[in-house]
Amino acid sequence: MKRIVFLTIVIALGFVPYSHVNAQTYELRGNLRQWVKIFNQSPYATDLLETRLKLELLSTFGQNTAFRAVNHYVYDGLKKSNDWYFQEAYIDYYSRTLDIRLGKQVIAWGKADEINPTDILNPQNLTNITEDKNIRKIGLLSLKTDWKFYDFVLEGIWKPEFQSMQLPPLNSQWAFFTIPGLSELPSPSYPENKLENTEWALKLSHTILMYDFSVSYFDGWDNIFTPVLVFNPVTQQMQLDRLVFHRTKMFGADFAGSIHSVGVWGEFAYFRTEDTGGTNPYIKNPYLQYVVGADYTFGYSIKANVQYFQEYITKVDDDVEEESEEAIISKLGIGIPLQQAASLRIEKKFGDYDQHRVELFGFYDIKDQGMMLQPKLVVSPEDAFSLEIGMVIFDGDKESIFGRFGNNDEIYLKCIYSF
Amino acid sequence: MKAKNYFILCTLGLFFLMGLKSVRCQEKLTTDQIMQKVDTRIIPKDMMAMMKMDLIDKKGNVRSRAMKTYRMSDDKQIMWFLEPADVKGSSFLRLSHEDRDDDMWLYLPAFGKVRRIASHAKSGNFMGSDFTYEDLGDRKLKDYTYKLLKEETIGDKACWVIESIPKQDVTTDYAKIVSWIWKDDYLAVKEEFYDKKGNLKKVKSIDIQRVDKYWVPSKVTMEDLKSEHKTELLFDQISVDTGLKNEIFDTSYMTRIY
Repeated sequence: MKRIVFLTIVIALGFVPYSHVNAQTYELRGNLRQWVKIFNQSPYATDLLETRLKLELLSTFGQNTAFRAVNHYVYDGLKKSNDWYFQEAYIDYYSRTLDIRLGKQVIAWGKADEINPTDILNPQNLTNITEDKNIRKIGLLSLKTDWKFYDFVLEGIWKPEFQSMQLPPLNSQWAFFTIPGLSELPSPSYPENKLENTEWALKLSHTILMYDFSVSYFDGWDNIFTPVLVFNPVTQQMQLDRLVFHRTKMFGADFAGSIHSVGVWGEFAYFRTEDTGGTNPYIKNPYLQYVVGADYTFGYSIKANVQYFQEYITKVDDDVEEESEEAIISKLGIGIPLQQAASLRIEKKFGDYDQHRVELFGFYDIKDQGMMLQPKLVVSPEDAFSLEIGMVIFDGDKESIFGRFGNNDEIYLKCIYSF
Repeated sequence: MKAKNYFILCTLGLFFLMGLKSVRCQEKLTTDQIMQKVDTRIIPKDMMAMMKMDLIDKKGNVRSRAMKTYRMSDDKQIMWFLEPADVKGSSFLRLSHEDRDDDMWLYLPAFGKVRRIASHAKSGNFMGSDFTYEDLGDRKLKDYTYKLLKEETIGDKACWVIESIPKQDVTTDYAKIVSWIWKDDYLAVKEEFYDKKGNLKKVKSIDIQRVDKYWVPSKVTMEDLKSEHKTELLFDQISVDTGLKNEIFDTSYMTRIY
């Protein structure tokens, strides 16, 4: 209810005519997307028929204040159901040294491509992992300030609202894990709405020579719950009792630059969980995630980038504990449960205006031997209109996340009209 | 008598000064001196303009982009894309440095973050145009050796035709650039770009206009001879010396809503 009231106020502010402001502008833009998907192993003619209308209202009041709201209307043509929600709605205030953004917003951190261990400020809707990351992200009520001094920018964020990652249901074809005897997860116990339960983060950014650097800190909640298991004397087995959230602190750093003719970047995040000593089996141990990557352009039009990602769990006594810590649900900060992986993206633009693109994106799960491949062709016969046709192919060991999705190979078509 | 002597002295002095000026005007500039003058010619402290970028294929089909740009001398430039709808909100920032390559960043709203353009990617086309990121950058005087090829007239403009060859340690996509420098104002009005094999790859021509006391481009055309594709950049609503602030040329401004 509080959120609805807040959003109403924020949106109303966007339309209020400010008589004392000379340059007040409004603009409505967005795009309409039709997404059709057919699964390889499906008995149906179509498995997804989704229409998504994204509307973006922009309003400026003079040179210092602006308002932006992003609304999505989604119609599921198969289930004949619809949904609409505000992903973002915020007010900006700009000054020479300080920018302030207040409202529901998506904050993107990290310099790597898609795999961003430091990008934990917004949870994601992971019910369909093939959805675009910018749509998967859930906007949250936050106060963000950017303070510029000398050549540094200090970003400060305060989040009074906590929301967890939205996971696929246990019976969904995109479920990351299954629990015997359970088709639905119990509702997790969310932290109480109290001042001490709010989250905050800082990031200091700077450019030195040809490199962009930043260091970051986050003090908040792990946006993936931790399952608490109890022994059931009747079945003589451990069973899921409840899902709880724990506080975590993240110390992050990233960089991007180039070495000779190769673009390079890296991103590191150390998560200091509540169980700093690694003694409590019901709380995650501290862990480190990092990704390093490089890209290169062959000739004028073929771009390739490779990345390596790894997760280290600290304070692990033995293999059994390591396995339990590496359990799929433990860390989903990067959007997909992986411990050691490599990614590859090759892209070639073509056409008179470089308006068409052929791309191959692949993930290889080094630890559990699985892979995902996504070849696609994007053509733009007219400005502001594009057609994307592609496939998503999963393969691998059944233990791996991609092996688990082995029946989800798909072919899809997306038509996007921007206005 | 005194007055007469004084008059003669002044007249002689005046003739002497005029003679000096005449000698200086007739003094033949070396190629390096010409390029030095090109580099240090008087340009606006800052400039704001609306730009229309027409991409024209060999059949004459046109796709247009609209941008707003702010420049601070030749060193800093920020640009926001206004049209078409699928690139609207994208922005580009370039910061030039005396001692190293330019820093460039691109903001694409779909990613929600500003991305640095790595030095190797500067040979890539800028938003589908015939300009590469390198073409948008600032060529440093010390990075090239210069040779005067000939003198020629373009339209009614007497020009020096000067060849610029990059020094060995300079990363560039071109083996050489030939520039037509307008003698009156040390301004390049045409340039030819040669690829690493020595073939003529692209030709840039620049139409200029007077805004206040400065000569600034009104239209820049870059033609790719191989693909027979060309890009025309048309400048409109130009304002100069508006007192733009330095802090505008910062990545944080790329994401602002205007």
